[in-house]
Amino acid sequence: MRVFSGGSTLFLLGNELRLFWRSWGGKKGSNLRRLIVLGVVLSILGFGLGSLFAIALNHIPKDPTPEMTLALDGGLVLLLTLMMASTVSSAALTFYERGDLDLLLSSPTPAYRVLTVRCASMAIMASAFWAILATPVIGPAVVMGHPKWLLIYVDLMGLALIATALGVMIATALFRVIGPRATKTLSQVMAAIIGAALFLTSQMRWMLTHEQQAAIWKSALDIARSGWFAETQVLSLPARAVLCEPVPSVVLFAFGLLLFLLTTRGLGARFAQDASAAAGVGAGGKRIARGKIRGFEGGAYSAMVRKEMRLLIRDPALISQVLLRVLYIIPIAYFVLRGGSVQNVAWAGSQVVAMLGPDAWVARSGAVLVFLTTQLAGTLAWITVSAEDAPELLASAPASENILRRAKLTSAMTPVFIILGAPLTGIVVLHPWAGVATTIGCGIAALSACLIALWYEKPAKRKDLRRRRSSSLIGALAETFISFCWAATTWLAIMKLPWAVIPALIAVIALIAIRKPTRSFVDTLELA
Amino acid sequence: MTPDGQQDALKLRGLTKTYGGKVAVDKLDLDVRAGELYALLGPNGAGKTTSLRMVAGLLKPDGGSIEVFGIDALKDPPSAKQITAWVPDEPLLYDKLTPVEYLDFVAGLWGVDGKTGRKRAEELLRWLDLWDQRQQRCEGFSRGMKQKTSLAGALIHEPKLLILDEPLTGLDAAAAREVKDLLQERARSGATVILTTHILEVAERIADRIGIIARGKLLAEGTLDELRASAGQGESTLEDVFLQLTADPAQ
Repeated sequence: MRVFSGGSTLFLLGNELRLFWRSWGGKKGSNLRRLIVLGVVLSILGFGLGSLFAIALNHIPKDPTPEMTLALDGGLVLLLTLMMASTVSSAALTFYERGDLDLLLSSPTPAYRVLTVRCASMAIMASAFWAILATPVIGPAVVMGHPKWLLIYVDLMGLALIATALGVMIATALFRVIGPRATKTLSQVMAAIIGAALFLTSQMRWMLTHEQQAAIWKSALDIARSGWFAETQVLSLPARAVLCEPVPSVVLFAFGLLLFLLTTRGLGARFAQDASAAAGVGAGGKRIARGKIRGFEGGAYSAMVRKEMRLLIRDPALISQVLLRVLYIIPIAYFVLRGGSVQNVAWAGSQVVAMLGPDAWVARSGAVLVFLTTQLAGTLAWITVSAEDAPELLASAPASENILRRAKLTSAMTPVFIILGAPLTGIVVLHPWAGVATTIGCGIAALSACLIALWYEKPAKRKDLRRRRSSSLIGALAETFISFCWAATTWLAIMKLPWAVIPALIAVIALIAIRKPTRSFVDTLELA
Repeated sequence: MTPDGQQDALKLRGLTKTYGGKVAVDKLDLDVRAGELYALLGPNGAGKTTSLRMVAGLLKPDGGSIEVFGIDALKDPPSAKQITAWVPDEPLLYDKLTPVEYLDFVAGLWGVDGKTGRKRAEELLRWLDLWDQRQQRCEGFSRGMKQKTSLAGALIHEPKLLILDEPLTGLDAAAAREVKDLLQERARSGATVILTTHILEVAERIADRIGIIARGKLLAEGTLDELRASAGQGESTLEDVFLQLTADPAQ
C-alpha cells in the first residue's frame, strides 16, 4: 500500500510505535502478557467504579449548569497541563537525544514529516495512559447503555494533540532562547514543578482556614454565574466535550488536529535546523566549570564524595525528581511553621482534635517527614550505589571498597539532611521533644534506606531512576514497609506512647531478615 | 625474574575462567617483561579481554595465579592495583564531570597527593591536546576525546603496568597517532604496556613482543621475526602468521 511505503508518514509512525513497544518490555511476547494482566487488574478494580459511574450518568443533567461547566473546564485544563508536562519534556528530548534522528534527517524524507511522526507518537503516548486508566470506568458505562462515552477517547486524543502542539512550540521557543542543553534541563524541571504544583493545589484545603475556603468557593461560584459559562457560551464547549456530546467532542478533536498539523508543518524546517544545531552542541562544550581547578586532596573518601555530589548536582532529571519530593514537604512545613497547632487548620474536625489532641498533628508531620526521608535517601542511595557510571574504574582502584561505599552513602544522605534541615529545625524549635524524635527517626530511616540500597545493589543506568523499584521487588517492598515502620515509630514516640517500640522492633527484625552480604565491586561487575 | 635477568611485570600461571561451562581462558601461562610493550592478539572470543580483566582485578579467575611485579594480585589486590591501570575499550567516564574533575577523582582513588596530581593532570591534558577542553563536561566529547580522557585517568598515578583493551577502536588517525606515541613514550620511560588490538598493523609497528591467543590459550609469542619462524613463514606479514596460527583445527 502506498500509505505504508518507505518514508511515508504511516511507515515512520509504525516504526516509532514498534520501537516504543519494544522499549517498553523485555522478552518477546512479554508486553502482550503485561498488557493482558494490566487490563484484567484494571477491569477488576474499575468494574465497581465503572458500574457506579454508569448509574450516576442517569442523574447527570442534559445541559450542564454553569457551576458544573466551570468544574469540568477546570478538570480539562488540569488534564491538559498534566499532558503538557510530559510533552514539553518529550519534545526537548526529541531535539537533544539523537537516537535515530541523524538517520531520519539524512534520508530524503522531509523534515516536517519526521517531526509530524515524532509528535504523533508523543501524542499517542500522552493520551495512552489516560485512555488505559479511563477504560475500566468507561467500559461498564458503555455496556450499560451509554455508548456515547466512547467519545472520551476522541476527547483524550484531541487534548493530547493540543498538548503536543503546545509542548513542541514551548520547546522550540526555549531552544531558540536558551539553547538545547538548558532546554532539556528546564523542561525536566518544569515537568516536576507542574506535578508538584498540582499536588500542592490538591493540598490547599489542608492549609486553608474555613473562612479562606469559603471565600474561594464564593469567588468560584461568582465566576461560574458571571455568564461566561452559560450553555450558549464558547466556554461551555469543553465541558460538553467532557460529557461526550458528539459535536463538542469532534470540535475539540478537530481543533487539536488543526493546531497539531499547523505546528508540525510550520516548525518542520526549524526542527531540522534545531536538531542539527543540537548535534553540534556537544563538541562546542558550552558548559564551562567556573573557578580554579580544585581537588586532588583528601584521598579516596573525599574524592568519591566530591564526585558523587558533583554528579548529583549536575543531573537535571534527578534534581527534578528530588524537587518533587521536596515540594511535597511544603504542606507539612506549613503546619509546623504556623505553630503546630490544629486549632487553625480548617480541615481538622473538632471531634478528631478532641480525640487525638494537638500533638497529633505534629506527630503526623514528623511521621510524614520520616517517610519522605526514606524515599529521598533510597532514591539518592540508588543513584550513588547502583547507578555508578564507571564501575570498572572503582573495581580497578586500590582504594578500600568499604571506604568508597561509605563515601557513596555519605553523598546520598547529605542532601537529604540539607533538604530536611529547615522543617526539622522548625519542629525542634516549636516542639523540642517532637523535633528530637523526628530527627532521630529521619536519621534511622535514611540509614535503613541506604542499607537496603547497598544490600540490593544491581548495576543500572542513571536514566533508569524511575524504574529503580523494578530492579529488586524485595528491596522495593522492604524500603516501603520499613519506612512505614519508622514513620509509625516516630509518630508514636512524639505522642510519648510506649507502643513506639513495636514498629521499631518490627523494622529492625525486617532489616535483619532481608540483610544480604554486600557484594564486592568485582561481583557486581559480573552481575552487570 | 626472566631467564635473561629482566623482572617480570606480569606473570600468569594456569589462569582459567569459565562462563557457564564454556572455557574462556584455558590454563593460560604468560610472562610480560618490565618495560616492554606487549600486544595480545586473537580472534573475537579468544579470551584476550577476559584475561586482562582478571589481571586488572575486574574478574575473579576460577584458577591459576597472577603476579604483578612480584605481587600476588589475587592475595593482595590493593597493592597490585596501586601500580596497575586499566583502560577499557569503551571509555567509561562521568558525563557530568570535566576532564580535570575526572582526573581529580581518579587521583583521589589512587591516593595521589594534591600538588603532584594537579601537575600530572596538566601535563597529561596538554600532552593529549585536551587542555583547552579541560573545563568542559565530558558529555559533549567525541569518542576520541573520551578515550584520551580515559587514558589520562589511567596515567595520573603513573602506573608501572598499563593495560589497555582495544585502545585505538573508533579513533581517527590523529588521535590514534597520539595514543600510539603516548604508549611508546610510556614504555620508553620504563612502564610496561599490555594492549589488545585487532589492528595487526598496530601490533606489528609498536609492540616489542606479540602474543597470539585463541580459544583461551596462548598459541605463540615473541617478536615478529620469532612468530614468523614459529609459523614457518619467512617473509610473511603478521596477518599471514596470525591467520595461520589461529585457524580453527576443526576446519
